[in-house]
Amino acid sequence: MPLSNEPVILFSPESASLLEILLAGTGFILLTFVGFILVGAAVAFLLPAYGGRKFQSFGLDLLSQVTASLPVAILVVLVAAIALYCAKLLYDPGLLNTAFWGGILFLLFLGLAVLALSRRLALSGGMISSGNALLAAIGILTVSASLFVLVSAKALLIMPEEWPFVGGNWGLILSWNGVAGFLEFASLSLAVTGSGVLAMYIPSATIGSQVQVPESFSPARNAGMVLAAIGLLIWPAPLLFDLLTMPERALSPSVFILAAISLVLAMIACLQLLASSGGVKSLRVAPVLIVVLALFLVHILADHAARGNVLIEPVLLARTLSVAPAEAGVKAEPPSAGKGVFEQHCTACHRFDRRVVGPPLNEVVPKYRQDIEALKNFIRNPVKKNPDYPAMPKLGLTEEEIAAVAAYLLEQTASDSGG
Amino acid sequence: MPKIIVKMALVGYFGLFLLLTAALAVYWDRWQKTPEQPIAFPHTIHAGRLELACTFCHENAARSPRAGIPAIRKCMSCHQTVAVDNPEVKKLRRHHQEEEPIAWARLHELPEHVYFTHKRHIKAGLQCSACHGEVRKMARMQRVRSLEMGWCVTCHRALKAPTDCATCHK
Repeated sequence: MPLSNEPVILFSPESASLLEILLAGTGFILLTFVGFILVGAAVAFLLPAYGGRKFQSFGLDLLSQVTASLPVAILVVLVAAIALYCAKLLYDPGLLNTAFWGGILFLLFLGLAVLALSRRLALSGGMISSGNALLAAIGILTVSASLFVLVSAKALLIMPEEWPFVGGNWGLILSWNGVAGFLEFASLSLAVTGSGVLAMYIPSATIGSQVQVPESFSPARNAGMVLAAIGLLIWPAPLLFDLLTMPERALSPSVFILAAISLVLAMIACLQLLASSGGVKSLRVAPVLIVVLALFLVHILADHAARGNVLIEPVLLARTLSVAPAEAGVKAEPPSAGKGVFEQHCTACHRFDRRVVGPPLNEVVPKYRQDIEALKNFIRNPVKKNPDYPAMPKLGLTEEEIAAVAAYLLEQTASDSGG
Repeated sequence: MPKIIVKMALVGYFGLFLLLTAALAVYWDRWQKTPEQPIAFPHTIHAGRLELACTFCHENAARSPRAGIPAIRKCMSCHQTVAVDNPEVKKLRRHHQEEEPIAWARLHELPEHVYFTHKRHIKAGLQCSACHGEVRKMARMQRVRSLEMGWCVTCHRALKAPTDCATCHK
């Protein structure tokens, strides 16, 4: 499990930004889409099955326009796979293995396929029975479970200190921040579905005109408004929970500003819902969907900002755990006193083979080969000899230290020159 | 219920959460974010370009529970003559002349009830970067690990180090 640090910054900053935008973008598409499918399916199946016959046509109508079909399921899983691959390319977290993530994606596909099946059964049967609802519930739970793992993984991306250990302990995928993220996803899904339903069932250009509203209009409108209102009103709680459970290094002024913007957007959407609840004459609700989508986008941007704060180069380069336990025989000989003095006092400015602050020692020390006392004098009281270099400071070494380091320097330069 | 009251209730509800968010932001700004240091010491130059070992300055890391910060004398051993025109080095030299210790803002601090010893961790072969990140890439030093007990225990379990309470809570 412990690996040596490998260079991980494989991309130029421009490519890395593009990949991060792709990651955020696929996250946005995935979460909005799956949220809509999940809550749409829940509403479409559960309302008719338990709410009475009046919801049947609304449920069937909703099913025919949303929820999953097999091509949609494949597309969703593809988007999720792209998101996971972007995260792997960018940050190489080493979180578990391909088999695990393949399994999660398969679970997602399975859940969506079950939803597609229950939708087809309901539509071909012309009604939504409790059997349909049960099958749909299984699909919803499966999709929710895989989404929970994916959202938890998203939270884990801003906890790089956990990455080396997850392989040995899958439980480390779970975190309170992951739970907060999932609750945020759930509330935003309610809001997106509610406003989506409103937008689908209420044309925006019918203010004041006599419109023959479809039979499913009223239950649809009410369901949409209730869903959207619940989602928006719940939103601040998981948002605050997210801020509280986020690692402190992930926080920055931009994260707080985006959180504030999302609260303002939620408030605007609620006020729009309130304005549109006044009856047929106030039917402009398409903007609610736009505001809710903007809210979702701001949430994704806050995640992106948090990643930018945490996943900086000093963290990514130390993303694996380096342990080099001392083995018998590794240290063939104890380090000499002279070497110790050299490393403690001289390496700030000197190397043997190149200029650092002072000249390369291979060039200047051999002059003293016949006269170690002159070298010791110089180390004791350095004088500026070469105008190309700054003056060497007096180091305040003891006589023993000076003697030891002088001997070490002569020995190192003698062996280098092969003499 | 009149709509105006519902509107006010909505604004009040979201306003409350906005206030709470602002409070969190202030708390973070005062207590949690990386503090400014009195002198802008760049590890990128010293640990990065000059490739100084961590223990060149933090001498006691391998032989003591505390790693420590070098005395001004250590800095002055080079900066008597090196980069004397740099404004940050001028601050350093002023501290040295006035014999005033530099009040570095401590970034890695554990509560008093925790006993942590650098010496044991280094002797076990752990790299400094495991807990402090790749410091040579940090122009401004920051803490990159939570240093929370859960994380310490996770690493101890993974590396088969002792997890007995008395190991760290003496």
